[in-house]
Formats: sequence, structure tokens, C-alpha cells
Amino acid sequence: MRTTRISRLRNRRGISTILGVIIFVGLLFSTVVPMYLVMNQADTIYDQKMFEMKRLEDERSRESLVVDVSAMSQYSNILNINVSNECVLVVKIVRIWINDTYSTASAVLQSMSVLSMNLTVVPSLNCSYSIMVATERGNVFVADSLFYGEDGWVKEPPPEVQESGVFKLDWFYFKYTSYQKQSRTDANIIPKSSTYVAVYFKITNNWIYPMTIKAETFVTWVVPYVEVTMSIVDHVTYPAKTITAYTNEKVVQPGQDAEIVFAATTRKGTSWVWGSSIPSNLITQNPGSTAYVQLTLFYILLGKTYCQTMTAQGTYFSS
Amino acid sequence: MEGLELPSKIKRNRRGISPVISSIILAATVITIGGTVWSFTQSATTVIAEDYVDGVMSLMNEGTERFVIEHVSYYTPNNTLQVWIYNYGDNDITVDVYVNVIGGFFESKMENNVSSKAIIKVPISITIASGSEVAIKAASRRGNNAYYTYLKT
Repeated sequence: MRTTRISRLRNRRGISTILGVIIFVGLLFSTVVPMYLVMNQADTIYDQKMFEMKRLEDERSRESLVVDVSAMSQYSNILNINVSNECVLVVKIVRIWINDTYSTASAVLQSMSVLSMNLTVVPSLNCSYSIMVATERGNVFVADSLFYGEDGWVKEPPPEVQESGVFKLDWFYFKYTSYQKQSRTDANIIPKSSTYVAVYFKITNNWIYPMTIKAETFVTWVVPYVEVTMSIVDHVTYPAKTITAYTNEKVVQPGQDAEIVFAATTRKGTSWVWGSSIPSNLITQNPGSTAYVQLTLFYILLGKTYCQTMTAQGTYFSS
Repeated sequence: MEGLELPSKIKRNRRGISPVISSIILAATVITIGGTVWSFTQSATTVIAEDYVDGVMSLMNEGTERFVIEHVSYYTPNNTLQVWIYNYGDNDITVDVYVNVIGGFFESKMENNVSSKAIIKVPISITIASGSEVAIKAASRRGNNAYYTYLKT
């Protein structure tokens, strides 16, 4: 009897165990394993894609084209564009920009090869033309700009500070001078015995881009007042004897003149009251004497700040 | 136990039926519970796997999104800044464009759809003075950004 019971119990345990194991294994293989496989597959796809994107980014950074543009003739309507592929990759050109309009392209450029294209433009006088080539990988390559003037097409030089000839500098006033404008009153009414002085300059922007004169601009006297410095100011008023600080930066359009005013720096903080502080007894006035100043001009051109110094000469009068 | 033993006929009958029934009951119980657990686990793992795959795909789409501000120009007669956005990735994108004139105005144009390998022009009405510097940001809905600095000449 006991043996039979134990045997039956063993059998029952065996059935439940087997069923449990079957269900567990089945559950494992039908749910958990597929889930793991799906997740693993997703991870693999993600890794592959990321690797591919990294490769594409690498290719994008190695893409290198040199774009050269020239006109077919001096007054031609046709521009010749030469694109040199200087990288080891095959580059597909998708767009060619001329200033703010583009034409769709579909040119494939093999490694180390050159592609030549002609583009028709209707040039406007005194207009600058910027040509860009856009690639399928999202790069843009810019050619040196062309300028169409009265002499036809010319290469536009890249912005840079030149040694001379960029700005025409001229005296406007230095106290009482023959250059004095009738319309101005502040310079007119400064007494001859005054111990303060303002200097006016006219500058011309010879660039083809607008330039912005920055507040750091100053003038240093060379003759007759050694090491006297004047800051650029907005304007001076008289008889209040005040100087308004230069806060609104002047934008000078291409070919345009701008009048800039300099006044003495003060040791009285921000009060901008002048007279007793330097420069004092500025002028031992000698009729017809020549003065020299050095203008240090800070300006912004195409988003970059440049500094240029130039020496100017002027005649002052004591009358 | 010996004194309580039933007549041998009944005992034999019970002995015959109960192992079968108990086995059936046991098996049924195990199958039912096991099936329930199986079903629950399967749907749970399916949901978990789908969520995971969706998450990975979303991350992948974010990681493979590629776009650039290719060109910017300003059309003075109607004070419109034109921003060209080129999508050189494989996914279609939706971008919001923000324009900030340094020391001046701020403007934006939302929800601009760009198909894969396509370029679109986004016109934004804003007044920009000559010489102003303009910071432009194109932000995709997946969280990627492209920047451009434009100088109004």
C-alpha cells in the first residue's frame, strides 16, 4: 500500500514538473528569446546606421572642391566655372548658386578631376557676384567673387587690410581752418583762447562692402603735441562744453564719406567735461604750421574687425 | 487508519478514478496557469520589445538626421530674410527657424517640412539694418540644430 501511494505521488510530481518545465521552456523560447533577439537586432541596426553616418560625416569633412570662376570675356554674359575635385571621394554637385538664386545641377565629379561649366548671367553694373557650389553631402564651396563694373568683369579681392589707399583721410577742421564748413557751429564758436579742441576727419570707404567704425578708434598726435590721445566721439556741443560719447557706431556705405569727430580723453571719468584736464594749452599757435596725427581706425568689414593705422597731415591756423 | 478503511470495492473505485482526475485537474491547472503566465509574458515582452525598438528607431532617426542652412539672403524691398535649408539626410524633417538680430529684433518661423535630399526656402519678415549681424538657428523636432551667422551688408 505505502509503496503504491509513494509511486502515485512520484508520478504526479513528474507530470507537473514536466508540464512546468515544458511551459517554462516554451515561454522562454516563445517570448523572452524573441524579445531578446528583436532588441539585439534593433541594436545591431542602430550600430550599423551610426557607423554608416560616422563614415558619411567623415566623407563630408574630407570633401574638397576648388571653384574658380571667370568671365568668357570682359563684358560677357557667360561665366565659366571650373570645379576641381581635390579629394579622393566622388562628389556630386547638386546646386550652383549665383548670389541668391540657384540652379539645380546633377554633375558627378570623379576624384582629382575637373569639371567645366558655363552659366549665363545678365550682369548689372557695379554688382558683385558670388558663386557657390553645393554638394549632395551638404557642403558649400565658394569661389572668389566677381565684380562687374564699368571695366567689365574683375576679380574681387578678398577683404584684407591693405597698407595704404583703403581710406582717403582728410582734415575737416582743426580749430579755425580754411576747411571749415559754414554749416557747422561748434567749431566756429570755440574761442581762440580755448584750451580744448576737437578734430574732425572725413573718411571714405573704398571697400565695396559697408564698414562699421568702432568705438575703439582714436587719434594720437605726433606734431605738435606728442602723445596726446583723442577718442572718437559722437559729437561735441558748445557752450555746454560737453562731448557725447561714441555709442552709435557709424556704418559707412561703399564709396561714401563719413565725418568722424575726435576729442581729448579726460581724466574725469565719464563726465566728459573738458578744458582743465589734458590736453591743456594745446596750441602754441603758429600760423600755417603743419600738424601730424596718427589715426588708428578700428572697423568691422564682413563681420570681422580690422585695425588700420595711418598718418595724416593737416594745417592749423591761429588767425 | 487501519480501522477506518472502506470496503474494498469502493476503495478500488476511488483508487481508480482519483489518480486520473487528479492528474487531469493538476494538468489542467498547470496548463491554465502556465497558459495565463505564457500569454501575459508574451504580451508583456512584445510590448517591451516594441517599445525598445521604437526607442532605438527614434534614436536612430535622430542620429541620422542631417540638415544644413545652405544660404541666407535678405530682400530689402519687403524686409524679408530668406533662409535656405537643405536636408541631406535620409529622413524627412520638420524644422523651426529662429532669427536673432544681434541687439535688435527676434523672429521665428515654425514647422517647415523638408523632405530628404530637398532644399526649401523659409521667408521670414524682419527688419535688419545694414551692418547688423544676424544669428540664425534651425532646430529640428528631433532635437538637432544647425546654425548660421549672416551679416547684412
